[in-house]
Amino acid sequence: MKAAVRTISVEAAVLGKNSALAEGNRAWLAERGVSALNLVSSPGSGKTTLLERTIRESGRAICVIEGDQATSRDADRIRAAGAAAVQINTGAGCHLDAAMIARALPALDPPRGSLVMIENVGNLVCPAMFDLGERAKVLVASVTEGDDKPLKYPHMFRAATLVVLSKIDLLPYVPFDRARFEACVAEVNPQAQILAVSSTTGAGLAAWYAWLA
Amino acid sequence: MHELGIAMEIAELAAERAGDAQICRVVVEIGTLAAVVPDALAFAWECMETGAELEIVAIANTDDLRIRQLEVRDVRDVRLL
Repeated sequence: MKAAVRTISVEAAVLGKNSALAEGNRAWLAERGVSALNLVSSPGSGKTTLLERTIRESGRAICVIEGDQATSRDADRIRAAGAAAVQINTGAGCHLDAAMIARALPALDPPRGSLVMIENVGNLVCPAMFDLGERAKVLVASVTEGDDKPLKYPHMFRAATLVVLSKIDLLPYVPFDRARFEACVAEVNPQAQILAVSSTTGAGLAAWYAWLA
Repeated sequence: MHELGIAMEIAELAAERAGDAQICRVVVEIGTLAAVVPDALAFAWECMETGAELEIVAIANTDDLRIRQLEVRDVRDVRLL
């Protein structure tokens, strides 16, 4: 005779393996007095150029984990700018995950008090889902990408603590409405701060360096 | 993409809570902001062939992903005294 079905109340969160690994990374970094930022954006927004300038000018001790599908071009640029870098190639993968960062951090060996910049794979979708152990996500959006992108990619804009609006030197040449962009960001993420910069002219970078401190 | 990993985690957690009982159904709550695609999770669950059904309840305005409850059947023989 089959027993009756009974209900077991569980009410428990399902923590993905990635989340657990990310917490491990967070603890590893905290133990060393190091914090990490996860730089996310679509391809070509200016993340690497912003990092090069930040490494050269900000006075902050910075080391970098680079994520790209292929090549070590970005890690080479970072090293040429004067910071240590570890390059992760994801192959067919479209985002960095906490396991990759867990392997990269000992190789990077960030010194006490330094800032680890994780430059994620250029992708405005998947990186939003994967906690790497960072203190915050910084989303770099350029003026050539259109002012309505926050509405079209709400997950990523919602996940960001800071939005860096890049390439503002190009504003005279593109139909980008800054007020509209800021309104779109506020609509999906009222808590997000926005800093407008140009890595070419240096405009706005002082505020970015101050935010990093 | 990562829904299969999540499905496996759900199965593991459910098995822990069910003990010796046979699981007939797992009821999960997925926040609409959770960046988990319910269809993909349902498909991943099917692929695992656990023999249990996965019921997905969407919860608005949260990114939580939780197991609400299990429906189980005790598999030991029921003996009449």
